[in-house]
Amino acid sequence: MAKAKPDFVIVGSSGGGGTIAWLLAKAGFEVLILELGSDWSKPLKEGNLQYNPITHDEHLYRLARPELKRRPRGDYNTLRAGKDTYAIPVGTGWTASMLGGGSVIWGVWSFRPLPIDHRLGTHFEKTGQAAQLRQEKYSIVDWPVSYAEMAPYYDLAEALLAVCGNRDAIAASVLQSPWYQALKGHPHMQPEDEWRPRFPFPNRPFPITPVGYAVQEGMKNLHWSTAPLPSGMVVPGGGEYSTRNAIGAALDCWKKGDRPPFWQQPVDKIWSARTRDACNMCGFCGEFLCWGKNGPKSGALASTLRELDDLPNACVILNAKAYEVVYDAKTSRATGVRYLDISDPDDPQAKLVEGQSVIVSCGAVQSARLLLMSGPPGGLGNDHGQGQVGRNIMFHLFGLGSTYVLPGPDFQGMLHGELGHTGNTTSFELYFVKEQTQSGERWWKGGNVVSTAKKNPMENAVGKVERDKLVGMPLFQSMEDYNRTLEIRITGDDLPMPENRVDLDPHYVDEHGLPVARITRNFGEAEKRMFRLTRPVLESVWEPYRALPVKTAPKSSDADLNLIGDHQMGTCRMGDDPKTSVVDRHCRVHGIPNLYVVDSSFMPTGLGLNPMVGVVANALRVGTWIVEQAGKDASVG
Amino acid sequence: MAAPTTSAFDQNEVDLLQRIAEELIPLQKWINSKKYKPPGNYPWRNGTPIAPKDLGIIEFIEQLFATTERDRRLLARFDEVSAQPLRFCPIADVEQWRAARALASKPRFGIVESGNLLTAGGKPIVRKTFYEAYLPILIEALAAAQAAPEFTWSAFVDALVKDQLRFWPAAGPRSSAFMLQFAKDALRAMLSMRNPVEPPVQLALLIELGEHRRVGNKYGPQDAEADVAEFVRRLREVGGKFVPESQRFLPTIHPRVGSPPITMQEVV
Repeated sequence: MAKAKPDFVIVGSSGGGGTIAWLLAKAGFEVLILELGSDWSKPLKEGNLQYNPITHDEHLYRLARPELKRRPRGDYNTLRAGKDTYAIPVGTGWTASMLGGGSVIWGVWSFRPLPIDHRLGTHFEKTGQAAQLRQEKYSIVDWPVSYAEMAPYYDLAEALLAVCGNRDAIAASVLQSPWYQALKGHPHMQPEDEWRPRFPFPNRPFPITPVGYAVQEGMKNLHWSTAPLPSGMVVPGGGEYSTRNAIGAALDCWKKGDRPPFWQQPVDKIWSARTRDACNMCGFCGEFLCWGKNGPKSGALASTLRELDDLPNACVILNAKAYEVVYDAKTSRATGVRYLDISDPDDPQAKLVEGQSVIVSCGAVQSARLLLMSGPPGGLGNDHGQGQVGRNIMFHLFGLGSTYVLPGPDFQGMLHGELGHTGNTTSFELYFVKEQTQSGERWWKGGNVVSTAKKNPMENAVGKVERDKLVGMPLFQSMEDYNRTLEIRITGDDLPMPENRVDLDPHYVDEHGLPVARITRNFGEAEKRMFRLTRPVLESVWEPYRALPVKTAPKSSDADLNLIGDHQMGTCRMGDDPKTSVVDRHCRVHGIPNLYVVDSSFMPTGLGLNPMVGVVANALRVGTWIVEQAGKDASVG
Repeated sequence: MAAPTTSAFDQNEVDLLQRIAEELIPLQKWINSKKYKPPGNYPWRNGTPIAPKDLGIIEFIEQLFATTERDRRLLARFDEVSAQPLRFCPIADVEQWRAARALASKPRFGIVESGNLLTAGGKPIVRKTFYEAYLPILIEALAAAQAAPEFTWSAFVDALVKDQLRFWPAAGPRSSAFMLQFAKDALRAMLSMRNPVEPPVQLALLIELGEHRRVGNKYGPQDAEADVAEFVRRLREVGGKFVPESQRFLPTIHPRVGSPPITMQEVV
């Protein structure tokens, strides 16, 4: 790095921070990343093994305490179910704390938002449901950026993430669904072309597994349209993956005259010839670090951060816990970031790095915490309206789903959970769910449904001892059942409510005396409606298996309020009006022209899908805009 | 298998832990009772009984003890923070900073409640110290229990798990905290594949469960296809009405842009 002050100080290295860092550095800016965690992939990079199963360790990655891959050893959040209750410390609410962040340990489910996700506010206005939702305390708005504007970046994000899938099957699952058929007549559902992206997934679909097959048959029995789950993984059996080729194909779908200058370059100027290895279906995916130097699992570590290694104008500082975005009130500008160097956690050192602009990308919870700890007592970007930073936190409705245990001993060992990652078959059938009322039918937001393998026998067994105090033969029985369990999950949309929020906990601090993030979260009427409406439908997926001679009862569960962390959206809502949002359409904090937020906290609504593709795409979009403005000699902050 | 050589436990303690493990996780009893028989020919199914001790639980727990010093330092540091939560705060004049934000002047450090430490009975523990604290009590309780004519290992362990052993000191720590922690550690050894025992014994529990999780797993699409076909066959055998339709998942033909071009042969 040549300059005393880098052009951009970026806090966080996951799908948002890691992606925009690469783009800005590639465009010639000096970039400095502050990453809270360490580089867990170091042993893999230093070794000579192409395939290194050193990461195959269920104890280390899923059960060890203190658990360090998601958060620093002395940090935590607090959680409460409403503003009148006392928040208690919890271990949840973190994405990851390592180089590459949540994009390293994620589950690789790779969906782009649907067109309707960009205009959910308009949708409910047009269907006459908005008033009820407002009365129920929801704040549902359109994204200020249209689907059409985002579409080329979704293509590029899928190229970076090496998504394998079947575009036609996904489109069919959406377009043949009952909700689409019922709603397609509305003008805001048009144009239909938007629902059928031209860009094919860059990899063919992940192979179907027994669990995926079993769920597919249950869904087909109900006449659902199913598809292979789009997965951010180099497809098994297909040889190496060239990100450069995939970017080239994505750009072919984007009319050259419409492309910003950065994307008009020859593709070999954009990306190296580096390739990635195909997945070998080892089965250690979600929560695990993928094996090898050129591992198949997608994420910033495998893509943008590797490219960044080649660039002299970029550097990463690990173990850097940012606690303040330094702000100059006279100029209304961010001037740098204060952080603790926790390389030796017993002897942290306070440091300051100055920069021309600051980009925050710590995950929705920690980004809000950082902004609230910075600047004036009310926090940065929080002086408009009712104080918008931290509001409308969304986590998805984890735990919402149904299981069915196939009878033993016939199916013991048959479901073979180790053939790749957790998800396999998906359907958009319940992306909206129908409520039949006296005045007609109403469609409420639901979520995507996915078959889910049971892949962690140790975590299950240890959990049975810990939670249920099972030992002896009942413990074995439970372990056997786990092996024969079919599961479907809904990534249920967690609609935004301003009362669901992050603020600074007044009573609790972390190891370094900094206030921890307090999460206020409760389910509203929409979520409760979804639980009620989806349960019988989900259970009906198991109908063919209830015809087997030995019957078991399906088990269904509503979402768990405490299951938060992997997906976190909101808190720094993107919008045109500073009174109701935190960042503008370019993800700049209103009123602070050189401060950006590019992780999933920008999302005005939370989808019913894994947000990673949306986050990567948005970081590409914002980075592209910054480069374009610089090219015009206009202000980028 | 060679007898375990340990340094953390004496032989009396090793014998006791292994005997307790047999009651908590009665491997051979379960194997003998269950209907599922995994494919393959294994010694424990051919007259050579297997017990948790054969899966190296003691050696595995000793590996976990290796982190003891780190945990000990960590808890000492956290005790220090708990006593003075703002002591290490990098913010200048933190009291005023907190007052300006309406934050409490005397905050708490809630790391224990957050669950990010190894705990037993709700309290943070250092694994080695925890075992060292419990084992003498356990040995004493065993001696007292064995003196009773009705003693059985099964009843002894059951009472310990339920905190109902009358020979356990009333003022002592809860026996269930130790029993459950030990059961979890033993399971980690038996399922983690880090236990220092050779296969197939190392994998006995996974094999008998029908679990396929292994260090170094490697599969291809053909394995998935074979497993689906086998699953369909089994469904038909058991249920009679299932028709394989895995062909539904074949993709429509489009260029595979990230890799060498897909061929018709691959698709078909």
